[in-house]
Amino acid sequence: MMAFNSFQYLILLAIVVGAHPLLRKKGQNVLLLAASYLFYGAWDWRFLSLLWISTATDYLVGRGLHRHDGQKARTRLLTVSMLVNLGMLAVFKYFNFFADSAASLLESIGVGADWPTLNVVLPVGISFYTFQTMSYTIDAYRRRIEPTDDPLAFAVFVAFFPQLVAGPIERARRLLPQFNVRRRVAHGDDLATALHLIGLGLFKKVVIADAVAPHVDTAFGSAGTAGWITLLVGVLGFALQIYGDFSGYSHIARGSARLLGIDLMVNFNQPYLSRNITHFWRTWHISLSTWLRDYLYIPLGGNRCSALATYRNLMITMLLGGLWHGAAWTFVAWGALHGAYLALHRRFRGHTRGAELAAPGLRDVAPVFATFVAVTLSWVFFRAATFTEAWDYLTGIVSLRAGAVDRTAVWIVIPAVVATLIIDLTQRRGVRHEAITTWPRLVRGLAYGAAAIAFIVFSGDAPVPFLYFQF
Amino acid sequence: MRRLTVPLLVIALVAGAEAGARRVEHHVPEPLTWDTQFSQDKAAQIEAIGARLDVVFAGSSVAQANLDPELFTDLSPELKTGYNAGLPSMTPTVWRQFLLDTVYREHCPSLLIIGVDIRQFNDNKPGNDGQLYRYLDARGRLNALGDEDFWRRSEDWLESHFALFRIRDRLREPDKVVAWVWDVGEIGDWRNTNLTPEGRYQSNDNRTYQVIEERIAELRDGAFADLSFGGRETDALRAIIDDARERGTEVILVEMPTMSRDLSKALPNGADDQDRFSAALDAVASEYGIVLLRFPEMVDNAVYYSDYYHMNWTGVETLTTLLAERVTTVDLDLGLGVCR
Repeated sequence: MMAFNSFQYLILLAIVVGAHPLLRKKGQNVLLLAASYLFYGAWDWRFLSLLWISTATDYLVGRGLHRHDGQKARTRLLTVSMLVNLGMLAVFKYFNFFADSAASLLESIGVGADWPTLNVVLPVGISFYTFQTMSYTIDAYRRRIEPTDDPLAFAVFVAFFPQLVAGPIERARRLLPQFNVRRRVAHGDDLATALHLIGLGLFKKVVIADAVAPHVDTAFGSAGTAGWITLLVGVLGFALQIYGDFSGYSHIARGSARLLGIDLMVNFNQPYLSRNITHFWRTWHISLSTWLRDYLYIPLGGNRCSALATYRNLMITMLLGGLWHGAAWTFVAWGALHGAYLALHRRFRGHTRGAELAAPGLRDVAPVFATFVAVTLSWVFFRAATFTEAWDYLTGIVSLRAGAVDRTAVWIVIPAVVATLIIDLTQRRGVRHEAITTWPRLVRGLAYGAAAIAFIVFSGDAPVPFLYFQF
Repeated sequence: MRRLTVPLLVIALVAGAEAGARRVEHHVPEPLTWDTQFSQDKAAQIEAIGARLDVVFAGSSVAQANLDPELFTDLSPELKTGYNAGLPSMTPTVWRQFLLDTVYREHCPSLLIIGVDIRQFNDNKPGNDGQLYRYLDARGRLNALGDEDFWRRSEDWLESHFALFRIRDRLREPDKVVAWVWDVGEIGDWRNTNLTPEGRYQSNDNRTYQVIEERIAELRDGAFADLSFGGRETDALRAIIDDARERGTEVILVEMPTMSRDLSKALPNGADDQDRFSAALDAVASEYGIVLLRFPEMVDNAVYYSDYYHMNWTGVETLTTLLAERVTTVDLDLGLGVCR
């Protein structure tokens, strides 16, 4: 596995970044495609075939959509793309889940059934690249984009290694044209931005996410017995871990792409500073939430229908969003909780006004805190392996269960909260992820120095895989 | 000069941290480079055994706490030196690797006694894979085996020159650093493995038996959830026997006695699961024609235990004595323990 925080990735990136400016468009795309397949094949070369199937299907469907104007033929082509992509997801990600669930359901009503299960491994990144290629065919079907006639550029669009296994889930309209320029060049500004993004991403991953991870594991591993302070610190730690891990990954992906002159979309925009849940979903995993909005919520009717239908649409969208993260009922429960949050917010606040999405000020401390608590509560279902574990965890906190305090966890999680807050607050003010470059030299020097020390302390073990690789 | 402000500040801060680390270094224990403190301490203890090692005990925390090599060798005239290589929480897959990495690298014992309990044979036990990979990838282990790549050599170089790198894993537990250096708060569990020189864990010795309902729930939802035998962990047990035989080491299996009536409450199918486990052990023993010992007289007798499966000193003494007596009655060829 070639994780972003591994030595192998550093070598691959250095070679690609070194060779990329020496080539022209076709050569650059060949290089990126080769590097992308090498990157993916390093995990398991057999699953490259799935990538190829998705690429070939959606390229050919795109060409078909270009040629055919008839609605019937176009719908048939779109159906082929959906069947192939969703079929791959159904087999590799969801088959065993639904088979087991059906068997349990039948067993509960007294009908024993020996359902077949598949002995398959979940291919890394399958949820990301299938959603990306589906958005291409849907946009082509809706005539929002012109299907490409360049199979090489399309293959790179599907497999581009910085965002292949954990996003951002890019839209063809944004990314594909960047593989069609005559020659991509990364300028001085790109390099500076790229290095800042990669540095920030590694800091969030290594110093925040990986540092709190063992304490989160301990807390969730003893959900039924640990004291409430340990449990509270554990779930707070998980809120930081998943944010540091995933936004860190996104920063490194954006930075790596920027080294090649390619601009990937912003995937996280200080979500824990949101003052309501709607705002949270506009700043958390933006590429997925906008995908769900454009290809699921709006086609269901969005909010242009009755209030009840809008709540239903929100709930369906979030339930499927939960299921996207993993084939388990705990993820569905997490989605349901967020669906309920969004419906409640809509019920009591109506439409989210522009002002509510602006940067929060001091007077917003209470709503920001309330939103953070609601989101953190939902992470219990996301992280717990079973409902029993989630229930034990929550009842342990609510009942103020007595138990020894994991002091080390407190010493690690609290500074991680402070570091995350500093990063997000300064970015919120600076409106960009490399806001640190605008700080006074003295402050910047101190910040870099502290980050370097923290990096030395928390690096050094075998690289911890990114959480979102499993989705 | 202004352009140099940022790099100079970074260098000054890191240099200050390095100076601080050098001051603190002598107050904190050696860094943990193996997967656990137990593996690290035991690897060092095994390496330090100069004499021939006659008998080795393997297993999880149950074997580690309940079998005393010193008493055993005192009672066994043919076996003069013994070591308990049991590793808490680990499964046979890790026991096997640890024996290969430590015991068999230095010694060819005459007898291997494997103390087994049901907890470690669940092929679906959560965290099995993570445990194995953490063990396999631990830098201390790889260094001990001489398996160094460029990356590890670079880290070794950094650690040999900079205290900040040397003690970084200790600095990840700042509360314990404060406790060790300034004697404030709890010292924590560093270097607190409480092992005898022969590798036995002795912290349970003075405890009396207690039923802890939370622990039952924890086992039911953790180690015993999705219980399944006969797969990779049983295969690992077979591999341990094969490895021993290749070296001319005799093997005895011991089904460790427990507070079975309470432990069964944590098992999905209660006593039936215990019976299935015992049958699986019988199958392995007869497959290899090796001795499988059981001590029914100690099962469910609370006076011997500190919890459901770990014993207090009364239990350790009784079990080790009974084991030594039973081993003398078994027809073993103890002269074959030679490296082949």
